[in-house]
Amino acid sequence: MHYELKDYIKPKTLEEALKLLHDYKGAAKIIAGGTVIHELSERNLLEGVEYFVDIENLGLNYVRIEKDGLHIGATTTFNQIVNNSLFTKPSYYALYLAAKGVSSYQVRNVATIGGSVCSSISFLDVPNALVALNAKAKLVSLNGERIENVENLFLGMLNPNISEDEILTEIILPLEETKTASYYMKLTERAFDYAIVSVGIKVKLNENGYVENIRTVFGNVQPTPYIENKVYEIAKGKYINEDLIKKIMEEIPSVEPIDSINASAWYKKKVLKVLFRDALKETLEMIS
Amino acid sequence: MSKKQIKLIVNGKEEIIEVNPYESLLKVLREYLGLTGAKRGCDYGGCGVCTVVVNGKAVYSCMYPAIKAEGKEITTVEGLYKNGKLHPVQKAFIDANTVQCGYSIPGAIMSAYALLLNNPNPSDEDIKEAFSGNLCRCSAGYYWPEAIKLAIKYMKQRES
Repeated sequence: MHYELKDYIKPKTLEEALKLLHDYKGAAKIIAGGTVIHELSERNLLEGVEYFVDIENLGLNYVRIEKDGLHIGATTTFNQIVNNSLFTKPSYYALYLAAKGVSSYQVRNVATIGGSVCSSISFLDVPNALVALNAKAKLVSLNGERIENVENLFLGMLNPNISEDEILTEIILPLEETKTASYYMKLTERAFDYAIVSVGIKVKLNENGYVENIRTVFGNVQPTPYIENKVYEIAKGKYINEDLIKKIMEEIPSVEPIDSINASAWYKKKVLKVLFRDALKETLEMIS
Repeated sequence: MSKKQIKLIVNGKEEIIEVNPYESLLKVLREYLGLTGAKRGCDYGGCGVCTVVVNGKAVYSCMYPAIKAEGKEITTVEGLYKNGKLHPVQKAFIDANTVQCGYSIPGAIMSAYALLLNNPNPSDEDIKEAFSGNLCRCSAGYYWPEAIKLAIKYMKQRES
């Protein structure tokens, strides 16, 4: 850690932070847990950044249920998610697994839910799980605020659809649903590695056990979280049995995966089918 | 690059120092304060030898900005030894034969200390999780979970 900054600023209010971002334009970068920033500084990927604006003291560390959904403050850490029993409920279990799957306990103590989304890195687990759970994000700037579906916040690797003067203040998950479960599964080379590929699933069945909705997300298959609509197209209104799972496995992924440092596209394509099958079975087991 | 004056509370003692705006807590502890218990290993947040406890949580000091730590309680392995006595976790690590090369020990001890601070009766799974960010290459790490159990025993003895 030896990046040369002009200043490291710790604003006390959201307004103060927004003003700093506005005044310094692209020269200021937001820092929360600091884990991704550390990587970026080590890899000389912080060109032009002269100020860090630390958002730890803005009161964005909370988890609360409101009328319109479950609100998670941007600086809520992975371990705070893991240790909150709300997230072991089937509707949110994918997020629990994604946060818990980040291997180092020390990283989980500081890494934040907002930071993981704003990094726009395709193999991070938490953003992929959030997309599977149909999460929204609230972004605030001096000009106002906008609510976006989390999947719309990624333009490419390290390229979030968030402007320089915006702060992601919270993530909003849908309220808990009945006959619903979610799951997150990743394949790694070693336990502490980043995902080669990952699958996030949320399934809702109707009262008779037929598929009402399935949302499937593949991580590290494209440079941004990939929503696999094929699964819902095939399974919609049907009862999921072995035959149907086989049929889905033949059809996915509906996109050619990208090669990456730890696996070829060919391998990812094969292994995704199996990972999907296993994750789907785990999800269904939680509903019944 | 202008230096900033910050106040850190390290092992209960107030320290006023000048740091670069983006400097790691590890560097400040080792090079400015002479506390060399926390080691510099991978410097990427993976090996765990730089682990210290900030406000009761184990963190990697190599990737924790010193300025972020301002006003928080920082505990390093040096802070566990008090009044000429080893902390029960330290004693347990010695008695459970966890030390071969010893390089990972200060970090592992801090992870163990943080675990027992937050969870005095951890399950086997909790213990595994707490050490998930500490690597040991010489294989003595195999005995760390045993050290935790011994530390719990020593702590209970100390209380009674």
